[in-house]
This record gives sequence, C-alpha cells and structure tokens, in this order.
Amino acid sequence: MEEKDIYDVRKLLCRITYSLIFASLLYHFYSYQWIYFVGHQPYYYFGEDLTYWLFFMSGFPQLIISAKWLALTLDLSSVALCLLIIIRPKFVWAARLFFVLYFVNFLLINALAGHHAHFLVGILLICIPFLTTKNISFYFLWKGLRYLTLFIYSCAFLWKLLRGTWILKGQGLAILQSNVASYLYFNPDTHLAHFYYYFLSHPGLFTILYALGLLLEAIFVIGFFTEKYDYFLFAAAILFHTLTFIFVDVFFAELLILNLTFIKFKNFSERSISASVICKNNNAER
Amino acid sequence: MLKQTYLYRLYHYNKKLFYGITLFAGLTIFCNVVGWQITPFFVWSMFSAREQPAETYDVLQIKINKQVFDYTKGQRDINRFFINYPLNYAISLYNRNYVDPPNFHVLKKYLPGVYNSVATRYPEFIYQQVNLKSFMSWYADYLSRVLKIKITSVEVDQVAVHYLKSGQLQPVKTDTLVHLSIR
Repeated sequence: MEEKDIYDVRKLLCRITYSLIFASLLYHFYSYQWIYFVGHQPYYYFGEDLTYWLFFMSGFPQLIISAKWLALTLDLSSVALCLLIIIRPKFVWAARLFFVLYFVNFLLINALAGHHAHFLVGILLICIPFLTTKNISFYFLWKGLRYLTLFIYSCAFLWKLLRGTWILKGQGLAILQSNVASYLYFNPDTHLAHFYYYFLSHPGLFTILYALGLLLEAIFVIGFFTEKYDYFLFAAAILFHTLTFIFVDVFFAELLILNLTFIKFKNFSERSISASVICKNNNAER
Repeated sequence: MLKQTYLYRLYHYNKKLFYGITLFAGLTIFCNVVGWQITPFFVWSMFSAREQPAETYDVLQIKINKQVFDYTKGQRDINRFFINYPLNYAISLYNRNYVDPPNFHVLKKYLPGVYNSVATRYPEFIYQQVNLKSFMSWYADYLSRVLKIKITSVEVDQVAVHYLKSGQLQPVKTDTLVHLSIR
C-alpha cells in the first residue's frame, strides 16, 4: 500500500465522517441544542470531572454564554468549518479548529444539560485521526480509534461482569422499570405500553434480553484479535443501540459514527502497509 | 506474529505517536478501573450500576399553561435530553438549598485543602447564585421556543408511582415542586 492509497481512503472517510457530523449539527439546530439556544441556562454541572472544573475556572465558557452573538459565532463557525472540510479534506487546519470548537461545544452542552452524556463523544473522538497532516499517522490513528470503539463496548461488558450485575436478581427488571416509568405514566394505553407491560409482568423474559445485550457487548472483544468479523460487529453495534432505544429509551445515535472504523477498505490494513513505506517515512522525519 | 501487531508497527513508524496513543489508552483504562471520569478519558460503564426494583419511582410531571405536557411522545430523543436533565439538576440543587452542589463532594472528602481554596476563589461554584425561580424563567423560555407556544405558566410536580404485578402504574403521591406564572 502506497501513501497515495491511504490518502484516497482518508479523503473518502473525511467526506463521509464530516457529512455525518454536519447532519448531526443540523439535527441539533432543529432540536434547539445549540449553545445559542441553551447558553442562558443558569446552572452548570461539573460532576467529578476535573476537566469541567478547569474549563469553567478559566472563565472562557462564561464569556461565550454571556453574549448570545459569541455563542452563535461558535455554533455557526462549527457548521462552516464542517462544510469546508467536506469540500476541501486537505485543509487539516480546518479540522483542527473544528475539533477545538466542538470540544468547547461538548463541554458546554454537557455542563448546561446537568448531565455528562456520552452520546456526543463519538463525534469528538472520530475527529482525532483527521488532525494529522501525515497520511500514515492518519492510518494508525484511525486503527487506534477502531480499538477504542472495541474498548467502549467491551468495557461496558466488563463493568457488568465485575460488578456482578449480570447475575443480580431483579437487575433487568429495575432498569426497565426506572426507564419506562415516565412513558407509561403519560401513555398507559398505547401498543408500546402493552408491549412494556408484557415484559414487566414476565421479568424472566427481560432478563434474557438483558443477557443478550451483555453478549452483544462481549463479542466486541473478538475485534481485538481479528478484523474478520468487523462487519458483524458493525451490525452488532446497531442492534445494541436499537435495543437500548426500545427498552431503555436512550439512543446514542452520534456514538454510532464510530462504526465507520469497522468498514474495511482495500489495501487499508496492517498487513498491507509495507515496511518500505514505514521506513521511507522514518527516514524522511530524520 | 508480534511484528504484525498494531503497536509494534506503530512503535517502529513513529515513537512519539506510539507513546501518545499508549498514554491515552493507559489513562482511559486507569480511569475506568477507578471509575473516575476525566474528559477525554471517559468511563464506559453503561447501565452497569447495581439496581433493584424500587417500591416507587419518581416521574416529573410538567404542566404548561395548566395542561399536562407529555414530553415522552412527539419529542426527539435529544429534545427530551434538554427538557429533563437540566430540570432534574435544578431540583436536586433546590433540595440541597443551592449549597455545595454534588460536583464537589469528592473534592471536599479527599482534598479538603483544595476544596477550601476553590470555595474561596470561586464561591459561585460552591454556592449557586441563582434560585429555582430564575431557572424556571429560562426553562419556560426554552420550552416556549421548542414547543412554539406562548407560555403563561409552568408547574413541575413530582409524582411517585408504583408498579403493579401487571406492569401498570399506580400513582401514589404528587408533590408540587415549583410553580411559575409569567405575565
């Protein structure tokens, strides 16, 4: 695989990735989730996350949300940079600037929402490989991101395994009850409500589903050892999030963007990077 | 076989990138082991907290212009994120009398010296300056924008519900948390 092959794949991935990010930004606009719309929420939630403490101690976020025009500039600049990157994938400076703006946006949205959600993390992480000018570095960062995606799902499985929640009686039922209570309170007689009543009155069934969810997380461990089943993992991630949407009323749509790392391209694999390409780059750096 | 691995090839390609990626991976694993999230080293526990079925669950009932607002239907998942979570946080602050938000308990417990320093230099982080009514003004304005209606009053009730064996809900108690009239 020559560096040009990597660049062709990089260009394609760049356009796909930032098109999806652009769609997400528009979706947030139509859902009134831009900093411009939510910036005047008076409480900030830091949790135990040191990054948020330091971020707000800098005074910078307070400056952004104190003036609506500044907040709007942040939001519109993100959109403009995203479009620029789609048109000109070579503009790495635009990708770097977008990453900074999106990171600020990420911290602000979570602080103002009063909850540190993970659904925007996918977009933040997938921007990282595009920050480098070197195509081989992009390749290694993209593959590293694939391992991080595998880690995300495997880690969720390990947490459940080590905390013993997979064998805890009533765990599945408790999760279902707490997450659908609001829906059932407001909509006690819909088809979906009766669907939930069935599982609530047959908790053993939901326990089986919970175990299936656990299995779906566990199979991502395979990806650390082989890329042969990557398309299967691609589908498993979509199935997992669909199940959580139906039963737990949570849909991490933006996290699914990391599924792009499971897509295989011809000559874009570790075996294909020839030693000569790596050596040529090492020599060029010296 | 070692020579075919990702880390081996990365190490021989660019040592700085190798150390950067392994440091990021190491810190992510560390944060997950200790359960302490420090962005960008995220903790991926996803619904692994131990839970047991409770006797009652709390449902937030929002009344807009004296009509019950069903935020579970007709709203995108992301809309519900900003309809529910800021309100939940504001109510938790209200219940603690706005003092010492949940943010800094860990700091206070393990690093009291640092906590005192933060409380002195940034008192607005420890003692929230804005009361619930001010939050509700923003909240009403935000709901008005999302729902595209003029809002004259907002009321938030906390309804305790109990699950029957059939799976249906039975309301047990309703407490009005806050009521705001807008003229």
